[in-house]
Amino acid sequence: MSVDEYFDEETYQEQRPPLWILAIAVVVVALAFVLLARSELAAHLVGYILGSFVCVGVVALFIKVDSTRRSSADVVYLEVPGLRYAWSVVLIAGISACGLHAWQVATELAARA
Amino acid sequence: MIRTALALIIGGILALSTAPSLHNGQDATRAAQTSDTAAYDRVASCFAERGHLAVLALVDESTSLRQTDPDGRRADALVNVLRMLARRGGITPDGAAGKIEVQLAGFSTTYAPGAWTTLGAEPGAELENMARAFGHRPLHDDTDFAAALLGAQGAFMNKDTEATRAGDQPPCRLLLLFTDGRYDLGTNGRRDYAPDVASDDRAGIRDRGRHVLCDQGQLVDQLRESGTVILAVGLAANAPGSPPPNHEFLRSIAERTTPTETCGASTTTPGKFIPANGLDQLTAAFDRAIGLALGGTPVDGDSTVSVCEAAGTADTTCERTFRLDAGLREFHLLLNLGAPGIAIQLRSPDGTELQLHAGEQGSHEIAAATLTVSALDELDLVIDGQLPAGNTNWAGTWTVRFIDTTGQNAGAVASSQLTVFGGLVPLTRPNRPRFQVGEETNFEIAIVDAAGSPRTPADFVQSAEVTAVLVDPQGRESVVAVGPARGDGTYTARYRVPDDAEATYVVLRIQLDVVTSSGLPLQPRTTSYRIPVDQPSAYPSLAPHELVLTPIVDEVDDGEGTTTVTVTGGLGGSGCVWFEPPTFTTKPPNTGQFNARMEPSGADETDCIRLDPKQQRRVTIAVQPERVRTGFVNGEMIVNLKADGERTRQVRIPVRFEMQHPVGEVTQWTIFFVILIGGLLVPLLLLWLVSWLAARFANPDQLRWTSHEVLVTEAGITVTNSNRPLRDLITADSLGAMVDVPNTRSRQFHCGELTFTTKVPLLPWALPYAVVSANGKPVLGSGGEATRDLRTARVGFELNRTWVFAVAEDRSTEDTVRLWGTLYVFVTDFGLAEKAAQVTNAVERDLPGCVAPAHDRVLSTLGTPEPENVSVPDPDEIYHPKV
Repeated sequence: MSVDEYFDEETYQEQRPPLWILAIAVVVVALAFVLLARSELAAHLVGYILGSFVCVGVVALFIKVDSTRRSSADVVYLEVPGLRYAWSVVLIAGISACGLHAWQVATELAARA
Repeated sequence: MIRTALALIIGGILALSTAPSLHNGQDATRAAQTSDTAAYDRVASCFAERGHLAVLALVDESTSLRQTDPDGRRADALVNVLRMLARRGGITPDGAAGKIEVQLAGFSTTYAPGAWTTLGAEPGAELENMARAFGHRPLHDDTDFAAALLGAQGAFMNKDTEATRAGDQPPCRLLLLFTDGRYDLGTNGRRDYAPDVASDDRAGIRDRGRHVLCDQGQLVDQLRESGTVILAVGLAANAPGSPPPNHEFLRSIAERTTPTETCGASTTTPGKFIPANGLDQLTAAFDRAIGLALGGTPVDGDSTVSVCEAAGTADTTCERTFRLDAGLREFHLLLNLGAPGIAIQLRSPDGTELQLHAGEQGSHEIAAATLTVSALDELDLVIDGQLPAGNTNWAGTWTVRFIDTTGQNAGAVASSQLTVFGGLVPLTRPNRPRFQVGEETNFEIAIVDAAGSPRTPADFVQSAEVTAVLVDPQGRESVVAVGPARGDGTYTARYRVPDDAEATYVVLRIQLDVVTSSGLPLQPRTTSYRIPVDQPSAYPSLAPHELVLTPIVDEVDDGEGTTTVTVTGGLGGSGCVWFEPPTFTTKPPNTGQFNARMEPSGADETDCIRLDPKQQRRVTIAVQPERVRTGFVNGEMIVNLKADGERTRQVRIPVRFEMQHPVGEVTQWTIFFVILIGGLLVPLLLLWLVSWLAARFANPDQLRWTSHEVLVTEAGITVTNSNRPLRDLITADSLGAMVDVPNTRSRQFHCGELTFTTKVPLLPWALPYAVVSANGKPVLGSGGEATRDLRTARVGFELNRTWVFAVAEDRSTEDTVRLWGTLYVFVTDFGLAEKAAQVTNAVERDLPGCVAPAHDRVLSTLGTPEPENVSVPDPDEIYHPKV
């Protein structure tokens, strides 16, 4: 079933996935990786939070908005191929950054223990 | 972070703009460092300056050596290295007393070090045996560069700590890395540098190792920053047909950049990769490298010659001649005889001859030169010659003649490699000069020979050039003006220290470049002096000129490093001294603030330490970090000096110390897992929760629907209870509302025999979806199949323009697939006519195409009773619209 067949500008609204939210997630993960180059505990704590809570939170927001758009009435949802893999990759990258920061944080906290 | 970055940038600009005039010459240094011999020059000049060299020979013990070096020739090369170091260990390139310490370490899976050994005139049997053991030690399947260099870094740090505790400068560092292979892991196992990589993920471990080694500021950069010169010897098998080895990564460890690899970013210390193309070149490669690092100069010549018959004295094709000019101190001749039964005849300039055979060892005197002969294996001989300055009968042309004493080695090829060491050294006369701010200092530079006697180089060398630079503690260089040679061979030099200079000392580096009478340019000889910079005599003075605090070795964060400074009152008047807190530019991460205290206080001008003329007082300086961490701390402390009636002057004293803080591994891993699990589980749970919350159908109150009993074939759809076509039956008027449903979004609801359910996969990154079922009947839907048995079909959450066909009977004939059942269509409210047309178009186009591919599974499902408890709806979540 193609979009064009059903699409009528007057009746239906065209909706796409909220890619801008995904872009924010990418920036967040990139920032988490950049912070790996720093040596201070504060930087690793920030990187850890960015890679885990913030990254997952932004991806969750993406899913929420995306699902709402998909289930909205009178909306033609324009699927972006491979998007599901894209945000999975972002999520895994965030988790990786989180793990690397966690090791640095653990090293410092163990030194303080 | 931005504020820190700005501070760094502004600080850098200020540092550049306010730097005292002790600079310039850095370009020249950089140029020298990029030259082919920069790495060797660095070792030689550092050894000349500090008189203490730590050599770590890191030897590959991977199984590939069974192919590349089956006879363990690397052991011979190592023994030769040790002998070369030992015979020159007692004397630095500038002729002063020196100390060389050696550690032999193997590496493969792990780093396996021996003990540090101080070399005497000979390496000693124990060390030689240790080196020889490398020829037959067990080999392993890994070539783990990361483990090797981490071990080397630790070994060098221990040596530094030892020297610092003794109040000495850290030794110069030379890392001799020998391998035949690439960074390669052949066994599984956890590596310390990759704790979170699975033990069987060798590629992952190797990748992590490359980051640990080569990322900016990481291990190799740290080694360079700490002055470690890396000489990497890469052995290539010279067996016919063997592929050329890829030593690019090894080369990048030594030299930073290659055409295909880059390792680290630091250019502070040069390094050198030395290829050894075959075992026959291995010993020579090591020999040449160490000779250069010790200040020697390799002499080119006919290094490879054929051998002569014993009787053929007129044949000169088997001879190598070389010239030893006056002004040299030593020579080192490495000989490979080429075959058993080959002897050599060594003829001196005065015609005396010495015949040597394979395996021969001992001491000989010929033409006033003392020769020490030693053997490495059955074919390698080494001759070390001491050339006295007082008797130069040895000066002239020497000949080495290779003779086949058995007559059975006519085709043998012998080789030789000669290294000479200059004997002239530049020194200041009569004593070290003293520098005072604001005043010009004139001093004299003399050239002395190996015996310490003044010489006039112009009398016996082609050219001799003396240059000098001053280097302040921050590494800034200033050129010292050196006049031309005078008649007695001395040079006058002068330098004016700027009036605002703040350094407490400088290093005066004098370099002598000699070209011998036969035209051989010798490696530069450098003499270095650390010289105090005095403030005007009216001001108080300080000692020492560099503060080395006691190391802090502490498991709790309350340790402090201390030292004592002696302040002495100036001449002719009273004065006072006060200290500003030290600032540290290099420190381990997470140390926090450094607090300093002085006793007596002297923290500011009002509380300064008063001094009468020549009065001495001792001030204890203690520095305590907020948190003790492992690493080196380097910085400086500004000291204000005030003489009565004079302006205040500032000096900057370098301050350094070491800290060690052991970390409990169990604690570290426990914390790691706790925060890792917390950091992953909580967000993923949150993500799943969001999916669960988002997985709801559109408000059923806004849905319109209708159903018809139809017979579906591949040719089309026939409405069985009406003669009218489907498009006439599915109209805006036929679409009815689901009455008595709450006006809210739901997770599950029934519509006739259909049950709509949302699904949230357990994996939080998988999207939620919706399915429809029809009391166990096969269903086909506009969203495609959900299960293979067709008991469910996918639908969208919005249920707009959605059709579902619940199959009740199979009425197929032999020729035609015919499925009978109920067709349901759903649309959202508003624009019903258009939506009805669209969904009818869709069902008429798509449904007939589905029946044939699904027929077998439809039959199978129709013949199987519905499994119980396919889904148990929550009564509160299910809405039953009136049909």
